[in-house]
Amino acid sequence: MNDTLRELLIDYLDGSLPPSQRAEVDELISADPEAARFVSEHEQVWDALGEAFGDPEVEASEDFRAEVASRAAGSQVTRAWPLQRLLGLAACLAIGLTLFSWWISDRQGAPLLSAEDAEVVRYLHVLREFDVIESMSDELDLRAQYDVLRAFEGELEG
Amino acid sequence: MKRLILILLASISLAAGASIELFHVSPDQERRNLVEWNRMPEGERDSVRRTWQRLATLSGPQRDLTLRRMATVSRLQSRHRQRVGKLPGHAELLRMLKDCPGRLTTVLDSKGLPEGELRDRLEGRIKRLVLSFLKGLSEQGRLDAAERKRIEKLPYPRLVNEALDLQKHEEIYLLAEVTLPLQPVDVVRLQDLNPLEVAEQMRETRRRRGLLGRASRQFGLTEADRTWLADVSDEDLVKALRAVYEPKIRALLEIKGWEPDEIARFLAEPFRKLERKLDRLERDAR
Repeated sequence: MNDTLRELLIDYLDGSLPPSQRAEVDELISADPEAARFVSEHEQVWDALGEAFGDPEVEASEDFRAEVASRAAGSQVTRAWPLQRLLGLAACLAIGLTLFSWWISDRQGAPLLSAEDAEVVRYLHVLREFDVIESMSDELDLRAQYDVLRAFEGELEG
Repeated sequence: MKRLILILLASISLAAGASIELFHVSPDQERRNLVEWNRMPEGERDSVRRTWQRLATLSGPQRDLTLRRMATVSRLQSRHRQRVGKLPGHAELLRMLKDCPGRLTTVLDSKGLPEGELRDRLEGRIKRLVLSFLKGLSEQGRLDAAERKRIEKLPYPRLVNEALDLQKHEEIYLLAEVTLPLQPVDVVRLQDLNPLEVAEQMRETRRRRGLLGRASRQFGLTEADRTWLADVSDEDLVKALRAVYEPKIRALLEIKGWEPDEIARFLAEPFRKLERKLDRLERDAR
């Protein structure tokens, strides 16, 4: 049995032949014992596989394979142009770098802060003592004057 | 509604001015703040955020006053950290502020004076110090006579502010131009500081190195001098520096052939004037 006949019989077995060609293969099987044996053996194997893995309740419609074949023929495999590939690569790199810098900044203890939080953090040591600032305003004003006095200390003595 | 708009506008102006420093905070303190922030529970963070937002709602003069007070607290904290190695706790900060009138009473020798009079005396003392500073600067050719007159006529708060600015530049000049070979970046860092912070830093520099200016190269401090100066209180530092330097200056002037009465007059000058005069003396000798 040559390869062309074998492929034709496989197409016959999986039902992908058009009805006119199928009738011709039927005649061939009835006339050729070798072809009939090939078909018979393969049907037994496929039946066994179907029992082991297939769901007998679920069967593809008759035109299922033809439908898939026609859609596959209608679709075109598009290859990405080099520019598209480069853009894709650049996008991946940008995302990677962003994630990396975020990770690094996080590792360095400098998490991303909002503008307001950044200001709050800058003055945190004082803001946490805000009740002192409000309740001891007189003492703070006096202390500031005292610091001025100290700054000019040594300009007059005695 | 009007109030809401005002709060909103104040918040926007605070946010817009975010890049402007309200008062100086060292990068080191900022890093510590960030570490602290990362440790804080979200509830505590919200509380601090509310405080920040409250600051934004303050009116102009009230806000300026509050910022000045915040700067004072920041200075106190920074000073404490330099000395003790950590920020003062809440109770420690309160104690430092409560101690202030007592220290002032001692410095101004005004025991028993009511607080109002204590403040008047303090203001009077500061004004005399400032006028003396301006006079000394003018005598050394570091301040134009017309500029001195202009500053002297200013109302008290502006007089103090302008004098503090002048003093800051003089201190940086004495330190950077003639005492230490400072890097430009260090000079810029000092120029960015509030004058009171510069004064504070220069006080500590004098405690460690002694005199500033060209004359500092003539007089090295002994190990005993350094040990003694390190333990002297702020209030006694000028007296201690004078005690350390008088014999050294006297010896130098004698070598230069000065008469004893000339030396006595020279040494009778206030310490800061003495420092500036010695700088000028060294400059003229070259």
